[in-house]
Amino acid sequence: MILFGPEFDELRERAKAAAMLHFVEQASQDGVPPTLRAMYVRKAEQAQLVLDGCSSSLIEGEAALRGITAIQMAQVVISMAAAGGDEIELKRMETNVAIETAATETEIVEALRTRGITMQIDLSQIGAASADSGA
Amino acid sequence: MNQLEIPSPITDLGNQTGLVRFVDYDPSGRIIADGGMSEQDVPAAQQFRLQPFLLGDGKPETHYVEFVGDARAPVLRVRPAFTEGFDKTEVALREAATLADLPAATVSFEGPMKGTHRHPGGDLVVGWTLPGTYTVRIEAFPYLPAEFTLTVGDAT
Repeated sequence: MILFGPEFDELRERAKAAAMLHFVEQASQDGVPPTLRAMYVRKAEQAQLVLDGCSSSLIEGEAALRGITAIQMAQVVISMAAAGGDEIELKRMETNVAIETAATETEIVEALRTRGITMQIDLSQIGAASADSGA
Repeated sequence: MNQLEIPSPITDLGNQTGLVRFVDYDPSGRIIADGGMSEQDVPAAQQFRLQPFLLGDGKPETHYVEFVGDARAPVLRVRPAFTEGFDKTEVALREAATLADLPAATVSFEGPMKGTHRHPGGDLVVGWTLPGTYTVRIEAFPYLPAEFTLTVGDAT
């Protein structure tokens, strides 16, 4: 008998990878270009530095432009950065928990399907078709 | 100067009136082209054309060339269709579905997973580890390609 497909543990990891791709795509659909996104990430890092008691010319400069303190500016930046990302990350983690607690292959597929996630495994690309001559 | 003229067949013109139909084939018997040539060109084509061909009306999708007897004489045949399918259309995870007595074939499937398997001939016994509906395509030349649908689910 030729048995096509990964074993349960590998399937679980593939499902988590599919979930991660799904949520990364979702996070990327806000129309923010990669360069600007990188700037936002840097800005959030700088804001965290300010909240940790360090200085940041970027945060202090924008705070001065807006007429607020550097701490206030840093808090605004951190809360804006968290607003979108936290929600998506929570959904991803919730999906991962559902995948990890699934007891059968069908439950894994259902965990993905009910969250609108599709998993397509291409055995020709990864050469993962397993042959089981025993069954 | 007396030049030898090797006729150029006219391909892909359909059943054009006045032309003798022919098929070009490869060593496996697959038809690789079909077309027509004028009747007066046939003797020269049979003598000088390097590409093996056979007079007759056939298409790659529906015909093949069988090599018959010790002389392996080429004969144009209609590609046969599979008359048998898998022994079941619904199987549990890891349960076997069997397509009996299948000649050497390329087996490809698409569904939640996709992949290809080269079957050496004999009973094809396959199963899947991921539930869903799979379309299984069998290419076993000279048989016509065949498609089967299998639903793979939990064990009952």
